[in-house]
Amino acid sequence: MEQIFTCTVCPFGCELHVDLSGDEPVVTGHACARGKKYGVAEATNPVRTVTSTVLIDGISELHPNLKLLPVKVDKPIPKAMMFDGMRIIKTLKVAPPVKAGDIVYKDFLIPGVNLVAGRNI
Amino acid sequence: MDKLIVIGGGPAGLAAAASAVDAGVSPEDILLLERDDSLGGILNQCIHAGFGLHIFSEELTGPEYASRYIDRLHEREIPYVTDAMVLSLNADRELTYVSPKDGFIRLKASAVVIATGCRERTRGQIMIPGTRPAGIFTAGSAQRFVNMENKMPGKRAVILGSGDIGLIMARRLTLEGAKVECVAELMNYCGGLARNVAQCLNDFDIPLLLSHTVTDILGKSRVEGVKISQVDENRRPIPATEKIVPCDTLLLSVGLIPENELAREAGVVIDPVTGGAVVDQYNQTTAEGIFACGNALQVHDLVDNVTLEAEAAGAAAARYALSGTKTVNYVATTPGDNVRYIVPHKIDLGGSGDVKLSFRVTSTIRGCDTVIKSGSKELRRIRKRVVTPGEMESATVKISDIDAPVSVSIEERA
Ligand SMILES: Cc1cc2nc3c(=O)[nH]c(=O)nc-3n(C[C@H](O)[C@H](O)[C@H](O)COP(=O)(O)OP(=O)(O)OC[C@H]3O[C@@H](n4cnc5c(N)ncnc54)[C@H](O)[C@@H]3O)c2cc1C
Ligand code: SF4
Repeated sequence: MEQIFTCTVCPFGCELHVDLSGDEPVVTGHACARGKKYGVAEATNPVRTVTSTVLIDGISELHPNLKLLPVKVDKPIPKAMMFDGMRIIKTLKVAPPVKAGDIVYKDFLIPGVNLVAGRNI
Repeated sequence: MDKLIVIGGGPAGLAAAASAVDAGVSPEDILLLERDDSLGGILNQCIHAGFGLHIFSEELTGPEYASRYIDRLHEREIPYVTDAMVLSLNADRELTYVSPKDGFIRLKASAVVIATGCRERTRGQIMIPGTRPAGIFTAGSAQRFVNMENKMPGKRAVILGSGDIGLIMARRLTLEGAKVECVAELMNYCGGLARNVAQCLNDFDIPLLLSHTVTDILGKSRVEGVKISQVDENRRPIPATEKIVPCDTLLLSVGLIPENELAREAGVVIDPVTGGAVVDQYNQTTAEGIFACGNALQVHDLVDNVTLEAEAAGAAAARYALSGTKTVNYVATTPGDNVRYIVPHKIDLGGSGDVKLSFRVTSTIRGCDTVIKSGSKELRRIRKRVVTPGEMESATVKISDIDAPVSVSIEERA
């Protein structure tokens, strides 16, 4: 079975064809090695960097008008877990002050993956 | 010394100010003015990852990318005022601004960098017929509502236009629990980056309808649906293809326009194609000592390019502030076949080193060469696998090679 993806590693956007029927995945259509790696990952274990926002509980001295703190996972998570992640994120609140890079939620869905703040508040 | 004034505190303004210091202007002779209540510009609402791949080789979110440059401003102790709206600018570099902190201020600048970004095209500018219900937003204002103000624009959305902001918002609304019915694009190609089509639409099975447009908006007090039609090769709707898509929200992602009221007031000549100022390779506009960069100069897809362009503008503004004008010997740049525009518009041959030419193509072409000529002499021929209107192209040429007007064209390979 052949799967087709647009490579998103660089703006070039090569069309990758990945064949998983053999022992080893076979990629064609890539113009460089990074694309080949991406093609194999997309076909076998696609991951995404989920970003969202969590409610600021209280008032940030730095940004008094800001209601939401941007957050992201510090390592990409499996694509299929994106909505599970969003369900957790919706329940979270953080009290300022928080620094960019601070952990907002430890072991987010997967041990070793953290949800971190994207901005100082 | 009069101050070097940077208008706008987005990535362009931040990089220009830091680079002016690095080029020798002392920080107390610089002032950055930002009308919003914090620095960072549009990046504050762009919470998705995908910034800085070229400069930092990592995928930062918009706020993270902004904070790296806000740090540079602080490290250099460059003065700035937020909540400060620049109201006027003239060709003598006199400007006025208001802010709650300073009141109404009049200043004369030694050099000015315009880094005011861009704004979104609205419904009026693309003339969609129909009623005027609530529920119609530009994609960028919806992004601000969702990502900064904690408000959802609606539950069931159609997005018109396949610009990056629209694609990003399709994913964002879906993750937040709304249903995005489709993205309709008038042209037969996508306006946004391929990676955004893959990760924002394909990941969520959101259809991208190319050569389609919204022909009517339904609903009295709130949007109840839109009519979508396919268009022919002349971009005219084909009546037989019209269908009604029920929705409560219509997002418009139909293009960005450089914000250039101040530049116009100062008498700066504007390129009707880019909507930004006509500039030379130092990003100096037609008004001496007034420079432009970032989305105010040309709409960029990648913030990395904004930063590089702004650093060049900041350094040039610093040189101007420190040593004034020099005589110049300009040649023009002109778009050739399949090229829509080139920035810079002219090259001062008195300069040295390389000139980076940024340009956009008119349509998607596979298997082609970028050909740069000076007069009839070919300076460079660069093989390209593919060029698309959605992605800015660039190439550098040596100034010492140039002796006549420069043209850039895209030639298909046989
Ligand atoms: C929604 C969206 C998604 C994007 N996604 C990506 C991406 O994934 N990857 C990527 O690399 N790039 C992306 N970009 C592109 C990149 O972020 C922008 O090109 C870049 O932020 C533009 O920077 P700028 O400083 O020119 O403009 P802006 O960030 O718009 O900053 C201009 C600033 O000037 C201020 N200003 C304007 N007028 C005045 C005035 N009269 N007085 C005082 N201040 C004024 C404004 O308040 C604003 O803060 C995206 C852009 C948008 C809009
Ligand atoms: S295969 Fe290589 S060149 Fe092609 S899009 Fe992917 S990273 Fe870019």
